[in-house]
Amino acid sequence: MSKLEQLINQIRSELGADFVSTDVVGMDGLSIAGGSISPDFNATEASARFSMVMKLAERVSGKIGMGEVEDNLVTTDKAYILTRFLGNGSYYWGLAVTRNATLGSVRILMNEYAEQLWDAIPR
Amino acid sequence: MTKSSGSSQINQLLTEMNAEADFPISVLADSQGLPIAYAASQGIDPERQSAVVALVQKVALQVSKQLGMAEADEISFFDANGQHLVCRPFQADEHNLILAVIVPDRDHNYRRATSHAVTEIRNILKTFWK
Amino acid sequence: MGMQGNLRDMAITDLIEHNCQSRKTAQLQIQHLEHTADLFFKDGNVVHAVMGRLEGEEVIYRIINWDDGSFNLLSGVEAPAVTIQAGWSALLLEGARRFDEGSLMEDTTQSILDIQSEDSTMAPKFDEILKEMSGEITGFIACTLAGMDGINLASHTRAKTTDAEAISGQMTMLLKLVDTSVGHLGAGELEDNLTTTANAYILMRYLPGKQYYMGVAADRKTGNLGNMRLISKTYAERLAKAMPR
Repeated sequence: MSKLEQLINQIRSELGADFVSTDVVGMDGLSIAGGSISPDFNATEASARFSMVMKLAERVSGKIGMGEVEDNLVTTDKAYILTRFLGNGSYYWGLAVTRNATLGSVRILMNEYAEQLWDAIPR
Repeated sequence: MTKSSGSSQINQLLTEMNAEADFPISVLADSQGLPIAYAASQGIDPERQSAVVALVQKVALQVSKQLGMAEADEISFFDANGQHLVCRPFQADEHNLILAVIVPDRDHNYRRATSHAVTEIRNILKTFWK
Repeated sequence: MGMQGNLRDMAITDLIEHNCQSRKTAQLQIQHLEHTADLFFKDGNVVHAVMGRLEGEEVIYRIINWDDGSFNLLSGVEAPAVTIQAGWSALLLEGARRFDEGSLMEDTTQSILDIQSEDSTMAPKFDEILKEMSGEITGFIACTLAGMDGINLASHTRAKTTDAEAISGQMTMLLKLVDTSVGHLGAGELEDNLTTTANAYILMRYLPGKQYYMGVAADRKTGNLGNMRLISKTYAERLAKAMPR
């Protein structure tokens, strides 16, 4: 099991029942590692779509002078979907959790694991 | 004279509470663990503080349910030095909030100050954010 | 010298991509039923488009799903004007996304125009609500109320130099893309989107009905996320109540 997969398993177990899915995705929209509780979840489509979201968020932020994007949080009636750039921005980490999750602690968790995930990406 | 906002009044309230009751830190967080307001005499990471108090409150809620008890109105967390974290979950209109303070030692009176703050926060929300 | 054909054999998106990638200077005339659109290419991009009285990017978005009709490419024809700044891939991306959503744009735009013409007291009322909200948000930078076509209804900024109109347009694009993505993935109904940048928190929240949204930006160092979300939720409800019925 690669270091990246180990970290993903750790993240899953820390989140417990709140975990829905996670992926580490290149900015080409292709996932390099991840997992989901649901076999029906289309990780390929999610990775591609949210890479577009992150690219557009970056563009929008640049145009309105708000600086570099760090992360994006989508709140729906079913889930929180957090996406965060890793390292130099050539990858992003996507994480979906249930609405029962404590959002603040999920964000703290992402802060703590982001650098480890970046270091674990094969380059 | 400019009209004071609800947010500024809450910030002022927490600052005054800290000064009167000698709390080094107080935080008002939502049930999602995000900070709404805070006051501190020393360095603070409000996001981390808020996340932690929301987690504490969530665990306490599960404990209450498992034991068939009513919801907690106060949760305390003591360290070996006698310093403790007091979390006061409460409802203000439809908002579930948590007021958390660090109490410097076991003998310190905190209940009256935090109860007063909770009452005032409810009034502010009713006035400004309804 | 040119090329002619039918849209059944070559889609508009392919025509745009082909002419941009080959860096042609050309005019593309497209005929669909009783409509005629003219696109002008130069230096690898679409620089101008016109259809009747409509000009610019909006023409591209209107015609992108035409799958029947004829086209005629006239090489070497210079554009009479430059009305499009976006790159060709961004145009196609936005066009595809709008096509995914269906044609809500005309209805939304008409509603915005109805609001603006019907009741001249609406804008000041929105301004008042936004101004009040700005006092409640810790670290406030700017806020805007906009329609889903990007048209700004009202805004309030801390600094006069902040361009609320530009911010609305950009935020609208992002909110739409997020909403479409979430919809396609079956992830539920979008409530809000929060972007954290080096300098700011940028929150976008739909008003009930999803025809309008509120955008708020707060300083990263002095803003509080819980404060921003709670206040924006409260004031979104107030703005919704202030909308004409």
